[in-house]
Amino acid sequence: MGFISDAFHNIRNRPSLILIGFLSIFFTQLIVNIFIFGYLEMEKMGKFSGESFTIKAYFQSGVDDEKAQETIEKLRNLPDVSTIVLVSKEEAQKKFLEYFEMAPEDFPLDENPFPLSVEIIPKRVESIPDLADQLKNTGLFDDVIYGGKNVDVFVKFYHVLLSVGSIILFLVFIFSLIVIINLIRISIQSRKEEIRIFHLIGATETFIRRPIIAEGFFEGLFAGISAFLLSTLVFYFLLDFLHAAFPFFPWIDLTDILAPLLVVDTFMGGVIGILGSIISCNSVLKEVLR
Amino acid sequence: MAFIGFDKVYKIYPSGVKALQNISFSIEEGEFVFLVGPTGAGKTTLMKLINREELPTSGDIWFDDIRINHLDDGYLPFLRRNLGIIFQDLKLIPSRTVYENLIFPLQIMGIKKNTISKISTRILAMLEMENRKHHLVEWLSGGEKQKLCLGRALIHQPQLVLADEPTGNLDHYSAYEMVETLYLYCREEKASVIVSTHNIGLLKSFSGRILQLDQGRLVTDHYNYSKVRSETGLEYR
Repeated sequence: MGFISDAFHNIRNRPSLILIGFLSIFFTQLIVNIFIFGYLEMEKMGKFSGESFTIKAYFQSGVDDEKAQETIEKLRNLPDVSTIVLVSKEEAQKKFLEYFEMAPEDFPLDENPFPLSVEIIPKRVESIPDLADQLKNTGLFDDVIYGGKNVDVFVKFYHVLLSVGSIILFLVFIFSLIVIINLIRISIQSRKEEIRIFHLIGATETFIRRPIIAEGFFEGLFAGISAFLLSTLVFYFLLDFLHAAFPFFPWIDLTDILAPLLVVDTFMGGVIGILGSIISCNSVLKEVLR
Repeated sequence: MAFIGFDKVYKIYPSGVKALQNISFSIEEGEFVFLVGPTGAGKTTLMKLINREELPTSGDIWFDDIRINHLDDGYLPFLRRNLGIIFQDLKLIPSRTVYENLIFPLQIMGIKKNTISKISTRILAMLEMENRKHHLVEWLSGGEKQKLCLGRALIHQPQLVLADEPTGNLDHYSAYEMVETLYLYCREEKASVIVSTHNIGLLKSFSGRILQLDQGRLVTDHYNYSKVRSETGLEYR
């Protein structure tokens, strides 16, 4: 494991380069953490709101109880369906009468005109449009309705957050990677004489690469862990404030966010560091060892 | 087959300088060779060709039955692990300690820490540098750096030692001591040693083969027996 102590030796010897790389990954991770916070909050809101949004689908007139029951069993297996209930023609009529406070004998028509229908509560609110489309595509329903504009706005916002967030994440990842690649490249150039000596004495390219890659990894890892600690602190106070200020809003708990933050920060920090080092090594080592 | 063989080797640099011309010779295992000649004669180029730092323009170079000028780059480190080199410009890492510089060849070969520790203690004692073990190389005097290079060249017991002007920064006594160490290593380990030098006085003190280069050509190849009384002991003095 001598290459690890070599990596720390390199880190100690180039504090300014290391600091720039560290800060680059650190700020990348902070942006990632804000996105994770927003995403998890939306998820929580989605689950919370999903229960209050119901899809109603009205069977075509030719569909009998048996066929309707069979359809319900199939729909129950869809991954986004939380609960599904069959509303018979009689129940529909009863609901109508209750709504208008009418007695059954006051109902003006001889025949029950209400269709068989299903009511579906989705698991996530953002899945409602897709679920409604799936119902329409069965060809068994005359009409499929759901929470209207509220759902559409929520879903649009959710998708915008995902798209914009993904683009921003991709850009900061690339930016951070480019910074790391260049910093490691400078670091390799600054000790090219040392690397040449290693090579002349009999070091393989793998032997030379290992401490450089370890250096990138540790730099990324420390930056990721630091970003995690700072984010945790900030989110702790932020959520404390939000829970107190808006107690009825479905805020996430700090415990919900700790594991994803830790995993993403350490993993992504390490990956940026390793990837940056490997790319730098590939482009510079050949030149240095020539 | 000889241990080291040069067969009609030419080295012409891109600038047009003819560093070596039609060089052919062979060196057997356990031979002690002085490489002499004026500045620019081609001594360092010859060393660099053996170490594969440079490739010949034409001709072949053999090391232990391997034609090294055709050797794949991936095998270079394994060739170099059989060599102990004292570079003309020393090639020590100033930001590292004496100990770290000394043990690089062993680390590269993947030798275990305990073994490295034992070997390095012996070598540091030989160099009389035990008290300098944790000092940075940049703090050492020129002579101490040269001694450290000697230690680094011998620590992994190579089959061939290349010493390019190893006595450059040394006084007469230290220069003599350094070549004596190389000479004894050659005798005891049956390793081949090539020492390039300007110091003609050294040639008179040690028996060995002398290859003389001038303007890239091998002009003399002979043995210096004048001081040799025995092949076994220290009577070569």
